[in-house]
Amino acid sequence: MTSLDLKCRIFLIIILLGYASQSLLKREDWPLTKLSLFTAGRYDTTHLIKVSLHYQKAQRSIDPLLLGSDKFFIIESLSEIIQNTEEDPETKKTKVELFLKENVFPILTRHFRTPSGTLILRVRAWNELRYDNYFTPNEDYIFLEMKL
Amino acid sequence: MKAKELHLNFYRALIFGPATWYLFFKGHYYPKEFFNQWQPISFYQLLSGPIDSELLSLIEWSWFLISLFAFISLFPKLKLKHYFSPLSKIGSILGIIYLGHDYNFGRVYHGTHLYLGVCLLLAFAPKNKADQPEFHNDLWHIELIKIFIVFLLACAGLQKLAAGGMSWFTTDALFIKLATLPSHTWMASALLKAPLWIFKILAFIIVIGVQVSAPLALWGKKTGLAYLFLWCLFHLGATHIYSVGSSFYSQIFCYFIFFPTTYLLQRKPAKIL
Repeated sequence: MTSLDLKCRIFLIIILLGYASQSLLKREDWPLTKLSLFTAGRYDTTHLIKVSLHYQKAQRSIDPLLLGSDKFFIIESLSEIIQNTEEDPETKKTKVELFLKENVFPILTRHFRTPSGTLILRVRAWNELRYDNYFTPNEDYIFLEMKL
Repeated sequence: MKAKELHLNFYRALIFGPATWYLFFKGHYYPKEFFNQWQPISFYQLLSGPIDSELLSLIEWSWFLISLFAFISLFPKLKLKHYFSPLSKIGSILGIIYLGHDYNFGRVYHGTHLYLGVCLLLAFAPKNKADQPEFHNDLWHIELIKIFIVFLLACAGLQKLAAGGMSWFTTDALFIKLATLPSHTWMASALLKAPLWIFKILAFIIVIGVQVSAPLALWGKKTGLAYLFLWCLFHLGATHIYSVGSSFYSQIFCYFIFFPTTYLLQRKPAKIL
């Protein structure tokens, strides 16, 4: 790269410094500079709750039901509703049902023309999630079963 | 030099052709309510709200068609080469608006950022006026994009090490990343039952083998090809196990700058005995 003119050298330096500074300054809100999904080391997994959605019809199930970018939005929103300590269980269930109708039913119609079966919302909770206790959560229950 | 020109044209065609078609036809799905959570960043803050869906659709189609014309302009027989520069510039900007708009709810999604970065470099990088013919005019863009890609990957690896240190390879960090995902593919479910040492080795391969050591891809053609294979494998694995989204496949197209097109084009025919 010794045969570059000044304009090209400056351009190269700006591009590389842009990325390096994003990393050093931890600016994830800069355009086009998101470097890595796993930017941190090990997540804090104390008092962790995990919400999962399952669809069942007779012997058939779609696993995983959620794929692509929408799964983060859906699961995060459901977790937020379920973890809200200020609301009573009935209000939570109504809110969850409404959310599922508005956001998950359109996904089901991608698989079936007229969806029928059961949508199951499972909740698992760990005091501290580690490698050795993933399959034995402190709490494991069905939060909601919705007939379609 | 002729071979380098062919290599650059092949790469331009790959990015403004198949890579763009892939992202266009893959499409995006967002629930209606998603747009209520409008949290724009960077220059998207200049907008008063999300772009109207009809206008967004117009931008999407314009991005696709202009990129298609840029692709067509690269065919030597059509003699439209001079149209590539303005078309690629417009196509890249429209690509950022469309792909960025969908993802600018608080962060830039990194599934398409390499594709957009490469589009911008191909369209906007200046021409070199130095004497050496190997890097003359836009031929240096090949080296520029190679450096950009390896720098980006190395930064991603170093950032992981800076944040997590050795705990990446010595703890259940990678297992936890997988376990806490919103949903699991069948491959992910199978991997969750694997012994802990598998996760430690995988983490080492990802951080050191795939990312931190990426600048070694500049060493030579064979090393570049080996890294191209490794990066493709990494994205296939990440998509099928970590279900990070199929937009990451657009990065595979970008890595093909390391594919020795010139070697294939220059190969002599086998001697007939």
